Amino acid sequence: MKRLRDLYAASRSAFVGGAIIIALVIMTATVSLYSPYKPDAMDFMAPLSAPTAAHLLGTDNFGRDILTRVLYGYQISLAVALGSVGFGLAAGVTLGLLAGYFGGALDNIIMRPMDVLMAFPAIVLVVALTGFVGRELSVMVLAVAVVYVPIFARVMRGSTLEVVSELYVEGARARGASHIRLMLRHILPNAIAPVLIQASILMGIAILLESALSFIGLGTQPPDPSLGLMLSEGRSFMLQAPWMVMVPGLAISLAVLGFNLLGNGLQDLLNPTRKGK
Amino acid sequence: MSSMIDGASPLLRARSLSKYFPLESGLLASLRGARAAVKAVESVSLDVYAGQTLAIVGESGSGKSTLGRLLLRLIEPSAGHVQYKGENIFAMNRARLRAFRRQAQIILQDPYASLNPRMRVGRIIREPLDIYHEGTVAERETRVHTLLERVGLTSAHGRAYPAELSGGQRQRVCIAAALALSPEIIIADEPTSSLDVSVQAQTLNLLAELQRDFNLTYVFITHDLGVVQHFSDRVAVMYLGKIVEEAPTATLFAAPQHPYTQVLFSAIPLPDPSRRINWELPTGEPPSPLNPPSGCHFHPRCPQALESCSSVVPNLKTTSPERRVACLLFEGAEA
Amino acid sequence: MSLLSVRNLQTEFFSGGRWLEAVSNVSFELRRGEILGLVGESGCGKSTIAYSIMRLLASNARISAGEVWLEDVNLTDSDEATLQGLRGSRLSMIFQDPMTALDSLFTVGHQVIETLQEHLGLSLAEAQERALALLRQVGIPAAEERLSAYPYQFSGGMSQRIALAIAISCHPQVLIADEPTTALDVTIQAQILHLIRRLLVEEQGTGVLLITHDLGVVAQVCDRVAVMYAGKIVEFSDVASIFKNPLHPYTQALLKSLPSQGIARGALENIQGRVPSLTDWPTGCHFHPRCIHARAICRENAPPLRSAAEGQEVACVLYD
Repeated sequence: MKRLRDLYAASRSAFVGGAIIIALVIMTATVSLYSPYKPDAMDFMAPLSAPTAAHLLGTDNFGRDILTRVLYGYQISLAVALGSVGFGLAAGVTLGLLAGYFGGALDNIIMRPMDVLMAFPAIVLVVALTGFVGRELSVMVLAVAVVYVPIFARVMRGSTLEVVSELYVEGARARGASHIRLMLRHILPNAIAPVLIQASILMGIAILLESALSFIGLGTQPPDPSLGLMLSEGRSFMLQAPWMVMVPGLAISLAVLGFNLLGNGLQDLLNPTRKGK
Repeated sequence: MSSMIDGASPLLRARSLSKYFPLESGLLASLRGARAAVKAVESVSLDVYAGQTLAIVGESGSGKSTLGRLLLRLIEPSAGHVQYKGENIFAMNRARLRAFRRQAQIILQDPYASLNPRMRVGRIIREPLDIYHEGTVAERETRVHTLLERVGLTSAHGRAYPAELSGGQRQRVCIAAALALSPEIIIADEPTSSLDVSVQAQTLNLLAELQRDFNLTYVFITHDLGVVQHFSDRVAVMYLGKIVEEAPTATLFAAPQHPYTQVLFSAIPLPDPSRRINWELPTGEPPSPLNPPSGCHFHPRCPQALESCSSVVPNLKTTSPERRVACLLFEGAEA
Repeated sequence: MSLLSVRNLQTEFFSGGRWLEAVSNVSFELRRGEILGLVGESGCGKSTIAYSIMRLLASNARISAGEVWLEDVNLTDSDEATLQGLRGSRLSMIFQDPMTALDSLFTVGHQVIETLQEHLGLSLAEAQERALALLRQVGIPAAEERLSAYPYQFSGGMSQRIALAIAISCHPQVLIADEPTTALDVTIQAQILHLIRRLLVEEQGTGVLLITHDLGVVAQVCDRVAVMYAGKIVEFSDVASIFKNPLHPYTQALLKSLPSQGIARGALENIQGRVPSLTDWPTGCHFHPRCIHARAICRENAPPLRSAAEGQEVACVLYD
C-alpha cells in the first residue's frame, strides 16, 4: 500500500496509466467468466438497442452486446500489442546493443538495413505484409513487429552509445570484464530506460494499427470482435446507433491513453539517480 | 635510457608511446585522405618502478589521462609499446592480457560517475572476483567484507546503492574494487580532485597505508601539485602530449629546470601568504592540442625562448642523474 | 563605513516538510578595496550566503532573519525592481561555471554591449568601443574578432575572462565571486585571480567576496578570511594571522590536512567523521562531534565569535 502511494507521489501519470492498463487487462482476460453474453450471440429482440440495463452499452445491428464485444476486442488488440512489442523489443534491443557497443562495421551492417525499414511508412509496410502473407493474427503481430524492430534498435543504439562512454563501463573493462558482461551487466540495465518508455508508447500505437488494419479489412475478420472492425461496421449506423462507433472509438482511445500515460510516467521513474532512495 | 635505480628493472616501461585521435572518420574523410589528428600523446618514454609512486602532472589537454589509459591498454597506441615485466602489453593475447589486467588496476577520477548506479556496492566490489572466478561465491562474499572493512566501510555499505553514499565513501568503494584482485600496480586518475580537503586527506592516507601494506605501485595522474609533492617519489611533467621534465619529486620541487615546470610551479597557490604566486610569469593560454606550435610546443609562452625554439624539437635529455629535461637550454648539459 | 554589511543573516531551505537552517547567524563586513575570503567545505553554506546577498535564492529557500546592507540600501527588504537595478551595476557576481553568465545564443560582443547600454546608458558606438577596451583589459587576444564569437567557441579560462569583463564593466562596488577559478588550470587560475586583484580591487576599489574551498587561493589573494563550518563562521581573521596561527580547532585541522612535502606520506591530519548534512546538524558548537578538544559544554552552547588575538576572532570556548 505504501509503495503504491510512493508510486503515485513519484509519478501520477505512471500511476493512472498503469491503473488503466491493469484494469483493462484483468477485465478482458476474465470476460468469459462474468459476461452474460457471448461475443457473437445475437439478440434478435434488440438490434441497435441504445444502452439499457440488459445491454449496458447498447447492441449492434445484429443485437450483439457491444460491451461484451469491446472486451473481447481488447483481447485481440492487447495480443497484437504485446506480441509485436515483445518481439520487436527483443530483436531491436539485441541489434541496437550490438551496433552501439561494437560500432564500426557491425554498426553499419546492422543499422543500414534498419534505416531502409524505417524509410517505409509503417502503415504501408503492415498493409503490404498482411495483404500478401495472410490475415491471421500471427501475421499481423509479425508485421507490426517488423515495423518496430528498427525503432527499438535505433533508440537502444543511441542510449548504448551514451552509456558506453560512462566511466563505470571503462572501469569494468579495466578490471577485465568480457564483452558479454559489459553489455549485460553494465550497459543494458543503464541503457534500457528510454527503450521501455518507447515500448509503452508503441503498445498504444500497435493497438491503433490493429484497429486500422481491421477497419480496412486486412486485420481481424468478421465475425471475430475487433475494435477496428466494430468501428467499420458501425459506420453505416452512425445516425441511428451512434454508440456503435462511439464505444469502440472511446475504447481505443482509453487503451492508447493508458499506454501513453505510462510511457510518460516511466520517463520520470526510470531516472537512475532515484534508485535506492 | 638506463634504469634509474641500480639493479631494479621497471615494472612498466613505456617507449616512444604515441596516441593520435583522428578528427574525421568515415568513408568521406578516408577518401579525401584527411589525416588531421589530435596528438594526445606524442612519443612518451617512461619507467614505473615497483613500490613507488610516479606522478604524471599537467594541465587539461596535456594528454596525461590518455597516457594512463595507454599504460593499461585501455586504448591501443598509434605507435610505441609498453612492457610489463619485459612483455609488450600490446602484443599480449587474450589470456595474457587477462592476467595483466589482474595485476594492473585503475581508479578513475570521478567517484560519482565511475560506479554503476544500478549495482549494489557489494556487487561492484565482488565483480572483479566474479570475472576471474576467484574461489566460491561464499569466499568472494567474505573477501568483499574484508575489503569493505579494509577501506573503512561496513557490510551495510555493501548493501547500498552508490547514490546513497557520499563522495568520499564512493571513492573508498572504487579503491576496494581496485584492490579486490590484489594487484601490483594501480593507476589513479585524479583520485582526489573532486573531494573536499578533509576527505581528500582521509583518502590519501588510506592509499598510503595500502601502498605500505601491499607494496603497491601507483601512477598518480593529477593536476594537484600539493598532492604530487606529498605523495609521489617521481614526477613526470607533461605539456601538450609530451613529457617536458622528469625527476625525483624533491629534486623537481627544489629546482624545476624546464621553463614550463617553472611557470607551472610559480602559479600554484600555496597555503602560505609569505610565499606568493609569481603573478607576472604565466602568460597566455595553452594552445589547442589540435594545432600545437612548431618546435618546442611551449615556445610561444616561454619567457626564456630562444630563436631556434620555434623550429627545433627538443628531446628529453638526462641533465643530472635521475633527471630528464626536454629544452634547448639544456641540450648542452648532456655530457 | 563598510561597503557591504551582513548582519545576523539566517537562511533556510525547505526540505522534507520543514525548514532547515543552512546559514546560521552570520555577520561580517566587507570594506572598499579588499578581498574577503569565505572558505569552507562543500555544504557549509558559503554559496548560500552569496545567493542570499544577491537575493537570488531558489524558491525553496528564504532569508528568515537578519539584514544585508549595501552602503545605505537594505537588500533584504528591497523589491525585485530595485534589486535588478543593483545587480550587474553596484553589485556583481561571477560563478564557477562562467557559462551560467553567458547566453549561448548571442555573440559575446552582443552580451557585453547590451550590459553596458542597459546599465550605463551608453550609445551603441560608445558601448562597442568600451566593450573592446574591456576585452583587452581582461587579456583576450584579438579582441575585435572575439567580439563576434559565440560562447561555445571560448575555453573555460576565456569565458571566465568574459564573465569578468561583464562584471567589471559597470564598476561594481561589490563583486561576489563564487569559486571563480575552481574549474580552471593553475596557470589560468593565477591569471584570473590577478585580474580580479588588479582591475577591480586596486584600480576601482571594489570590495570582493571570494568564495572558495581552496586555502591556497585564500592565502594568495585575500586580505581577510572567514572560515565556515556547517552554516556558521567559526573563525574570522586577517590572512597572515590565520595561516601563522590558526585558532579554531577546525581551522587547525583543515590546514594540517592539506597535502604538502613537509608531511610524511599517510600522515595527513585526519578529521574524524564527516561533514554533517543539513538535516542533522549537531547541537551547540556544530564542530564538537569531530573536535579533539571538545568538552561537555560544547554540546550545549554555541559559542559566539569573539576577539581572541589581534585581528582574529574565533567562535570556540577554548578562548573564553
